Parts: sequence; structure tokens; C-alpha cells
Amino acid sequence: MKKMTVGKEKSIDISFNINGNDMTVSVKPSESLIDMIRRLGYKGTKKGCDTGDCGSCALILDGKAVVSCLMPAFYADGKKITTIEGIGSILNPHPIQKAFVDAGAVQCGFCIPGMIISTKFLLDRFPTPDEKTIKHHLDGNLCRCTGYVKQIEAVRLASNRLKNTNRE
Amino acid sequence: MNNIKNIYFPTTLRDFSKIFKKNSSLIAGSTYFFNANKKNNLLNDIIAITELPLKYIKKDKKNIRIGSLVTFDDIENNDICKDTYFGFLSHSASNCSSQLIRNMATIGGNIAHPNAFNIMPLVIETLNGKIKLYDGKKYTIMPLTDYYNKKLSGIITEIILPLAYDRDFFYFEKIAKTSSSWESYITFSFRASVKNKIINDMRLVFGAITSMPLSSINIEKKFTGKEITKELINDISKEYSEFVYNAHPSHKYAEYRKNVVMNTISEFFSKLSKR
Repeated sequence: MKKMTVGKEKSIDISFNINGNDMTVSVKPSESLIDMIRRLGYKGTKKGCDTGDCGSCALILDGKAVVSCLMPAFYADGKKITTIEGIGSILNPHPIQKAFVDAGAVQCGFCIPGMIISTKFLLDRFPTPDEKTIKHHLDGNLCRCTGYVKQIEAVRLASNRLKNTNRE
Repeated sequence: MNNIKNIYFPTTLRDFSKIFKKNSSLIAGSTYFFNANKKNNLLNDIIAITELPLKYIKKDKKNIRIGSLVTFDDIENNDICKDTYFGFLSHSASNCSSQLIRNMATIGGNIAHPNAFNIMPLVIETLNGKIKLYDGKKYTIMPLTDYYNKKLSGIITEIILPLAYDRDFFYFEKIAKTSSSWESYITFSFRASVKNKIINDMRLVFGAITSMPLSSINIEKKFTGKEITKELINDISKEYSEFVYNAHPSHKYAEYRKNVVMNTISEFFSKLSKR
């Protein structure tokens, strides 16, 4: 049975893989996964409501899109994390990221990393989703700028583009 | 949580029994525990139960058995859940919160932390399901009401849902004035068996009204065995709308909920009469 014992400095050492890189860090038992991720410099993941309602802090943990604000950092031990930085970059954007830009789905941009994480999870699961499925999978990502129409268009565009590419 | 000394990750129930105490703090999907406790400095040890072998959905001759670590997303997309009770389980699970939460929240946690908005207690009540509890020494199988009333300590290991109702008629819906008007929410979870327009059996459960699922055995008994006529639809709708209204008459949306119950029950039984 795995047991984590909190040391004299009131922290625990955990190891995980983030965006393909293995890492070991010390975390406090009360530290959330979002706080740890941002402390490590992965600031594409946004801290919004901190109560699991807005989806800005979404990341992929062992293949499932989750909210990182409700999760203790120690839950990441032994896990594989993908943040928005692991999906694509400015120089080499993922087709989903490019589709969001091309569809005009980005306004202030705060919710977009979470939206893209949810879209990645959706398209890995259902490569050609209908509108109902798109709405259902993006129902945890709140956007205060738009009316969600452009984001749904962006997911459709990404789905079409991903059919013609080998990129994961 | 800064005074925590140990975090355990048992992988078997035998390991769990060695460390479990009556006041142990258990964490599973982490949609409730962490946010509720991160500023709680009274916790010493935590048992993270995520690695226990309780992630399964099985069907035997009499029951569906769902491990307590199964998530709402698992239920929504599982073939057994889609094919049984005309998809009632999958549909109700899909109504839980958001996709990001459905990926994390476990059905055991949804039962263990009672809240008016929780979905799984309603589903279990509608299906006369039972829960299996392990206290570190023995297993006990009990109705959900016993678990809440007796406030027993232990870990919920399994939810047992009888297949006897597989061919019944089901209805599950969350209704509110607008989708963001959470105060006006009311959840309907209905099951009925009807033959030749006679109600053989029915279970009508309401959520988001009180902290526990709301139902009335008396009303169910009163109308079971009766023929569905226009008068019956009128009577039953009226009776239930009064019942729900009286459960929380001072609520801001009590009148709205009363009307919604009236219309929903009327529609439910009208549809049943046409079967």
C-alpha cells in the first residue's frame, strides 16, 4: 500500500509526468493541483472560480479532462498530466488551437485553455461529434465574452481538420 | 489540511481495513472533500480510496452492481447502463453537473455527501436500490434511507439495483426557470409499471427540494392498482403538487415548483395512459 508521510517541512515529494517530462516536486497537503501547476510555470492553465464551476483550470489527467482546482496536488503522484502547453505552442499550434483562432472563438482568451482541453478530450473520444455532444462536453467551460456559438463552430472545424492530419 | 501526517492509498479492502477508523477522512473523486477541507487543520490522516478495486459495472440475473468508485461519466457511457431501464441510468448520470465534474465525481461520493442537488440518491430510491457498506470488519447491505438515518461509518463499496424493474416506464429530468436559476431547480425521477391502463407499481421521487430525496409512500399506495383516467391524472397531479409545495412552502420558488410538478406529473401519466 502506498503511503505518503508529510515531512518536517510539512510537505510531500510527488513524481509525475507533465507534457512528456518526468518531474519530482514537493507539495503541501493543502496545495491544489492548479496552484502546483502554475507554481511550476505552466501558467496557460487559468485559475478562475476555484470551486469547479468555470472549467478554466481544466487539464488532462491520465486521459480524462478534469478541473484541477478541486484536486489536491498529491493526487498527481504517478500520473500523466497534459496542460495546454502540452497540446501545442505559438510556433506549433495544435489543429484545435488553430481552429479556435480561425473560427473567431477567442475574445479575452481566459477560458480558452480550458475549452481546448475539453475539446481535446472530446475529439479523442468522439472524432466527429454532433452539436449535442459538443455542447454536452463543453458544458463545464464558462465563457463570459461570447455566446458559445463560435466555440461550437471551432470544435466542428477542428474535427474536420483533424480527419486530415496525423497529429494527436 | 496542513497538519496531515499521512496519506494512505490502499489497493485492497484488506489494506483499507487495517487503517480505517470510525472518524477516518476518505477522499475519492475529489469534487467535494478537498475544497471542503483544505482549511481544516484538524485532519491527521487521509485515506485516498481511488486505488481500491471498486470501479466496475456488472449485471447478474437479478441485479446491476455498480462499484462505488465508478464515475458519472462511466455510467453515462457504459453499455449495461445504456441498455437497462431504457437508458434511465445513463440519462440521469448525464444530467450531473458538467463533463469535467462527471469525469471525476464518483457515485459513492454522491451518496456519502448528501445534498439536495445530488442525483444518485434519487436514482437509487426510484429503483428501490440498496447500498453495500464495509466498516472494516463486515459488509452490510441496506436501503439508502437506513444509511442516512443510522449515520453508519464505513465505505460504500457497491450500489445494487434490482433488474425486476427493467421493463418499467422511466422519466428523469431537471427543470428550472432558466438553466442558471439553481434556486428554482427541481429534479424528477419517476418509475411506473402499467398494464391495461392499471398502475401496478410506481415510485415518484423528487430532488432539489429537501436534502434527502423526497417521495411519498402514502400517495404511491393510494394510486397503485387504479386505472389511469383523466380524473386520476388530475387527482394525482394535484396531490403531488401539494405534497411538494408543503415540503418547503416558504421557498422563493415554491409556487413555481408546485406548477411544474402539476404539469410534469400530468404529462407523465398522460403518456402512460397511451402505452
